[in-house]
Amino acid sequence: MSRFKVKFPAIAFALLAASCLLFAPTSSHARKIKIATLAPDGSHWMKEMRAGGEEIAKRTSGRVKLKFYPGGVMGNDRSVLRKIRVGQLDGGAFTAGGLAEVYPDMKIYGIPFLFASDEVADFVRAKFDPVLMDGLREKGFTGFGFATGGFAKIFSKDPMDSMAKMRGKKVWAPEGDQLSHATMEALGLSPVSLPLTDVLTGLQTGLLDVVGASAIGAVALQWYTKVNYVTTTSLSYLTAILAIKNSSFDRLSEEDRAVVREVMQRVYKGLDRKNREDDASAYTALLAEGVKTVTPTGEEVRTWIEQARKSAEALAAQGNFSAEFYHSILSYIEDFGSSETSESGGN
Amino acid sequence: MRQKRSIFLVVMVAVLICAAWLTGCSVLGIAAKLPSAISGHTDPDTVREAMPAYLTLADAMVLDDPNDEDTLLAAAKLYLAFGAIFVDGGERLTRLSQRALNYSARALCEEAEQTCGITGKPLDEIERIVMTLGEDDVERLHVFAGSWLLWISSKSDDWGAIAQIPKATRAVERVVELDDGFDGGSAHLYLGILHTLRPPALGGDTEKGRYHFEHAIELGEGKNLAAKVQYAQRYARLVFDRELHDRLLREVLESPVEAEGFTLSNILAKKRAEELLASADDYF
Repeated sequence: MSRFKVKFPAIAFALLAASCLLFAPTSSHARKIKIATLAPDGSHWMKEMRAGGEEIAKRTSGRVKLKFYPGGVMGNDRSVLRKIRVGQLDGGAFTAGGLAEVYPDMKIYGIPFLFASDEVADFVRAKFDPVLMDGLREKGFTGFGFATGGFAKIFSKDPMDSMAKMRGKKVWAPEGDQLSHATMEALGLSPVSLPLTDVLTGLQTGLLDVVGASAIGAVALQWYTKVNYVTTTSLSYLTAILAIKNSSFDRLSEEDRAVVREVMQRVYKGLDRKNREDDASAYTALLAEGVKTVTPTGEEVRTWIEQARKSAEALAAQGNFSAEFYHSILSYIEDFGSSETSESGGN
Repeated sequence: MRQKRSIFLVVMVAVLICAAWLTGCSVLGIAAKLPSAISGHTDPDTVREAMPAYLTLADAMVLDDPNDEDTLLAAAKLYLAFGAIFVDGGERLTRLSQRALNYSARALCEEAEQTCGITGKPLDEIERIVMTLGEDDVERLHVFAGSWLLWISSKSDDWGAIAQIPKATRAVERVVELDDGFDGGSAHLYLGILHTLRPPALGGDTEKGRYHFEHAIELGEGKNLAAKVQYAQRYARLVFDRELHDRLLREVLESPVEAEGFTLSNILAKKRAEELLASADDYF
């Protein structure tokens, strides 16, 4: 068992990456870009990021070297941002909500019940990802694209097929996530604000009855062992972004910037695809482990969406994110709906 | 056909060796002593090359007496040891660890009927089943839990396997509850690894991991160098404690290799310690 490796190890990969770097020619003007992430070392995410770093070092003849701080050793999104501000780090792999402190519109894809499926999300993102990346750049960070973390779904001890059943239950709201908190309150729920690290214990001790999580999260964080049901309706769309502060990125030569951009955008596109597949596999796995599905009626879901949209309008009006962007996204969603209808009508 | 002939040859060799010993010898006796012979060996290459023949012999023995728990346990131990020490992941490790898991689960089932089909049961039922096991079941449960973890580790991209971690963990925890120091505290080493799979930011209880690593080192009286290497690789790297990382690995390099039951793994642990130290500047 000395080489036990469940999902997160792969020091071997790090060693390989390190040995390859030894053979890359180095330059006396090497730029080290320090990037923090919550992804544990050895995870698929880190393997891909390290492979990207290795390719960049090779293709820039050692002028650009990415140095990673995995597994949250630099703290959560907020402390990573603080360390970037004081120059201790250059960038990070953030959750969309984590970057909202710098650029509030980053949380727009995470509005509850916004996207009903991967297909709608793909349709909107093809048009809107570049808009958000441009906006982020204006706020001082260069982004390399979004990678989905899957759809958050409702996991619960008792079946939750209606909002009425959820009222009076203790529902988890991620600490610092104002969007979830406000939406839950608008839906008449009782959010309990806790950090992610306390959720498993919260479910165990009865402090929480209901949590929202992607299937990947529910399996990897072992939350599925403390719940009995998953509601099939997608609650919200999760994304992560790799971003480097402009002042660090712009120090690189134009040629090197192009290499970093090309490689890391490709890495994130690959992660985007892989995470979606993983989310589907993790969902199948947790059903196999005995978690039962609950499907609310169409009318119930329509009510949820309606109430969530009202809440989003109110949040946009308060300046939590751009009302203009939100409305553009809604109209893209409508376009997607009509294209779907016309396609199925044609068949 | 070729496989049958090689099994026959291996069995023949074993029988001849037994005949030469005249008394107190059985093929099963040899198989049961193999793990000790392996763990005490000083040349990994010899063991790596020799073991496949014994694995095939173990399969033949199980075919000959499919319900004998001692034979099943001996076969499981051989597959577990070979897979864990010499096979570096991939489908081959899945195949070998699957065999260890299958044999060990059958050994457990032969002795304790309530455990039959345990891997397919939900967590709360596994919790109830392991609580019915007693001190007499520790060895079988230990081999079973180790085999299960090895199988899961071989399928690290399979969410169905990852979802079984809490269940296998419960089996390891029960070993610790029943006999803390069994096999030099190796169950603590498993728990150390399990608690450091996730960083604290993702809900991992790394301090619990540290406790189990230190306990494994203590129960092994510092002779199991793999425990220190795992402690450095899993815990010190995860929490970015360079000082601890380097100290543990230097201790490994300065320690003698030969120790009853750990010689072979100590040789491999020293090699790993050198690799980890060499990559430390890049990691930290």
